Amino acid sequence: MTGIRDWSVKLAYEVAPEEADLAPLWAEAFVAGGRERDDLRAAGGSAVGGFGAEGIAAVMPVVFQALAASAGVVMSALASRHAGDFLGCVKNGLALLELRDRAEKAAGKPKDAEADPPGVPGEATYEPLRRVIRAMGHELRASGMDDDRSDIITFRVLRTLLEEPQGAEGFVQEVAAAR
Amino acid sequence: MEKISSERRSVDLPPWLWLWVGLFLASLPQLVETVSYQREVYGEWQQAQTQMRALDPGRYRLDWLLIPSFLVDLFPYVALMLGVVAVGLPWMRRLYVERHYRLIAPPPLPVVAEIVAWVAARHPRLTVRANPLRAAPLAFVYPRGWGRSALALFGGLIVLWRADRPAAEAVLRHELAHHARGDVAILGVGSPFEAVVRFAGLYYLALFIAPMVVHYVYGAWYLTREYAALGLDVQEGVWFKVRQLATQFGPGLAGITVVYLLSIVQTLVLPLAGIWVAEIAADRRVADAFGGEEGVRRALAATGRRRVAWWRWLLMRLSHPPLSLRRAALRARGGLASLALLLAFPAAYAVRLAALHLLAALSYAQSGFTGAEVVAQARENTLVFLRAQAPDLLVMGVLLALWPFVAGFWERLWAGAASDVARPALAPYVAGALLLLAIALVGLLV
Repeated sequence: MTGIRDWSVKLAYEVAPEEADLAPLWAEAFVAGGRERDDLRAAGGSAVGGFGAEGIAAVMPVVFQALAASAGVVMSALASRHAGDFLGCVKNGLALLELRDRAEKAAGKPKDAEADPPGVPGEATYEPLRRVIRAMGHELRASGMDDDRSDIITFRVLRTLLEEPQGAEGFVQEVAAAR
Repeated sequence: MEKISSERRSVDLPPWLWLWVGLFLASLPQLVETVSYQREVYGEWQQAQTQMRALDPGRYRLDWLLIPSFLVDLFPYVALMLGVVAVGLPWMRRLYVERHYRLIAPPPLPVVAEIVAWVAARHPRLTVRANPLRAAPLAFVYPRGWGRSALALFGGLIVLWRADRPAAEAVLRHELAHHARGDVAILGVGSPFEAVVRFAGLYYLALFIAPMVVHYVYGAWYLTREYAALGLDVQEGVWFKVRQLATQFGPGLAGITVVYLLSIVQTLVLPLAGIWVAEIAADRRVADAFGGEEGVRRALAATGRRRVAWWRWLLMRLSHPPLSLRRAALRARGGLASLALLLAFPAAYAVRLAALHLLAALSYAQSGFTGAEVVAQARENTLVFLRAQAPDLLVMGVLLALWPFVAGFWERLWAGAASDVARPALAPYVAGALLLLAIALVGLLV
């Protein structure tokens, strides 16, 4: 479980640093499944006497879910001999996304959710990467996350995984086995 | 207990929910009357059915299906009774809450230790239990027995502690305010509400609509068989039942459904208002006494980011007011705003009256009353309502007038010490009390 704990903290620092304390516990609960995982997804309900029934929108459980759901395409991207090129694309794409995010926020322009992922060339070599980005983005958006946030989180997660693809494979396998 | 040091406290709301429980217990004889009346109606129905079955056993064979429908009216009252019983058995509530939310001793994490130490510095006697896996709810207080309370911490609060410390502290102070105001012992009254409302549709369908429909279909089948046996036109019999469905049975069921929904509203509106006011009072206490208004605002904003389905949002309203209302109540300053906050719970009586008027109007419409007759009857019903509620209004007026002077004793009773804050301005309390007493007098004199 050390691997999954370390990877969860590493990912949390990239996508939601405030969740880094709990990320290892959450990752283990996700892998354990059953009621432990149900707790990660639990909505507030009628908690009389509480501050509010809503709670906060935690990111890491959604990331685990997205990784588990798109594990097949993630694994093929990590195992690809072009993984190094993918990392370069993801880094460029993330830089573009962050710039675009700032510019769109300043201009108040709505984002086009169907647009091609930024920084990824159109060649067939990069198809596995495009598939991963689409699959993870779809899962994150399905959890209620907005388009901008889901794109940035997808790219940050991929950057972290692609920086150490061999170690990441074990982590993704473990998360996927929990499905 | 942490001493509150602030130069201002704009308005401190009375513990209306406690008052409501007292008034509810005082009204139990009326509830017994309602149950007796229901039994009487059932007895008469059963007698009539026995006579009908003697005439035509086949036609009335499935009448037993309608027996559970007599229970449907009683469900909202059962919820209230269960809630009040839950208040009297705090260890039962503890067992349920700790099991339901899977609360355990706080995990050995530095961030959790920080939060526990923060709480212990302010309320050393408060036990802390946690479930770090859940992001929702953030935290709540619950009773662990007579005079003993616990704070439940969830993963969401731990994350908030890291992301926005003032917001997380505001959440914890909100919980400590529930403890100091004695809400912790009484808020359990709302515990069964979610179950009642969540399953209201299901048991209404299972106990009322489904048996009615089966009964009707059986009646239609039986009628066509009779037509055939007598050599009459079967198609004519079918058309008769279809017409009956469209003009009597269908609208009748729809009307009864609306009556059922309004009955739930009029039964739950007062305790629900008490719960909402307790939440607003806890927010205000954090804002007024600790200067934590910005923290509460940010905590509300953080919780508002989570998207939830509309039906879940509605269910959540059984324990908390909408975030927009909480924000507005937090902003409310000045005499008139204070008066509005003080009268928020008594105003729920007006909502109840409106629900009762709608119920009555439906019944008058079915009986063929004209518009003018309905209005005249509504005027008469308002006076009857005022007369019946006058004692409640009197008690509320007296509580409002006395509250600025007894609030300290109340707090000492629950938290062991009273807050060291200036007494709020008396004018809104006096104005509110006079208004309630005046309405009560009208009720007593007309």
